[in-house]
Amino acid sequence: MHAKEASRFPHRHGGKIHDYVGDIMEGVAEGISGELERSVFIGPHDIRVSRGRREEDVVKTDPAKAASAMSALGNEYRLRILRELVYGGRYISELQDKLSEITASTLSSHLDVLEKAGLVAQEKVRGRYLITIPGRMAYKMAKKIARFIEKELEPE
Amino acid sequence: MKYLNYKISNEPSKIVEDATLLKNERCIVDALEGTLALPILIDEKVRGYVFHGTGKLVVDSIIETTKGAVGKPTVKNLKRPFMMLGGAEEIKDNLGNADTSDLQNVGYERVDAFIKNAEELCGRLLKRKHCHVDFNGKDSQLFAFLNEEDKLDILVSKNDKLVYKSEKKVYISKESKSILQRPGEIIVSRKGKTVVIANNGILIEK
Repeated sequence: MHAKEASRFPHRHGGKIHDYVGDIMEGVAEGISGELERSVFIGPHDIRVSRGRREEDVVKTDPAKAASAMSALGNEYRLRILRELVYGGRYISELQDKLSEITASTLSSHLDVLEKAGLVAQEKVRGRYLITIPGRMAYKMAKKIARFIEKELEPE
Repeated sequence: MKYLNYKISNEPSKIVEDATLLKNERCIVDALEGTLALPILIDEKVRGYVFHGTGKLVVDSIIETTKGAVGKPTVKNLKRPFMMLGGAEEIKDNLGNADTSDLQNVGYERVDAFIKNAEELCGRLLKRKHCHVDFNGKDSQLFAFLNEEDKLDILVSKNDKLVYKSEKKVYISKESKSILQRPGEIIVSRKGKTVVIANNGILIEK
């Protein structure tokens, strides 16, 4: 048994599933913070002339900031809001139409959480909500984690 | 170009009903009731005002890129004097005479002190060597706000074009083009394409 593999997939090697998920979350938290630092340089069509010191950036990660981003993602409705915003800026009335099962005040408080975490920005003049670069990345990562965990937990 | 052919009136007015001095898709400038206003005359016509009292500035200094929005809105309470050139006609109905108590409410014992502040503020902008102000054009307005560091934040608006410059950022917006300069980076966005020039690299996003 390879030690590295055992640490990545503890459930396959007698570890507990919550340890395994905890490890993944920690890795993602570090990843998000790293991406926040150099977010403007990421993307499939980028031309990167030069870039920052990635390893150093990750080491400098502020756990509080990462936790705030992760906490903001930890709600189904907030993820659905991010999904809507991925397609472009939305007025609150448009978001309300898409999330009609929650009240206007609940929707507002979810938007507040996302805004405070830096995942969403609101235009103060027009009032539209926009997804930020960290918001888009965080949403992508949340989707990836969900897919990965679903796949891993499937019975063999 | 120095614009020396201006005069500050010595008859202060006050805002009698909250006035929106500028509003477009990207920014709002409001002056609230009780704010003092001193006319700026150019070629003997009232072309603008120096305000002092309570106001609010909002600029949506955000750039939308395909990877997400960059920047934050600028929201400032205007407690210090600020000047406006252009749009003087539109707010005439919101103005009334100011008396001593109105001056005192803003912290002036005498009108001279307000005039002195207004002259100093106008002078800092209109006597600049490279200042060129075209405020005869329709729909164009220029604002200069005295900030907490005693420097001028500038806002220029003409139709859908907007330039906002403060100590920490410069934001330019015109139709589908936007530029945001903030510490460490410059972001240029045009029709969904983005160029980022930062301390540690350049990104060209197609």
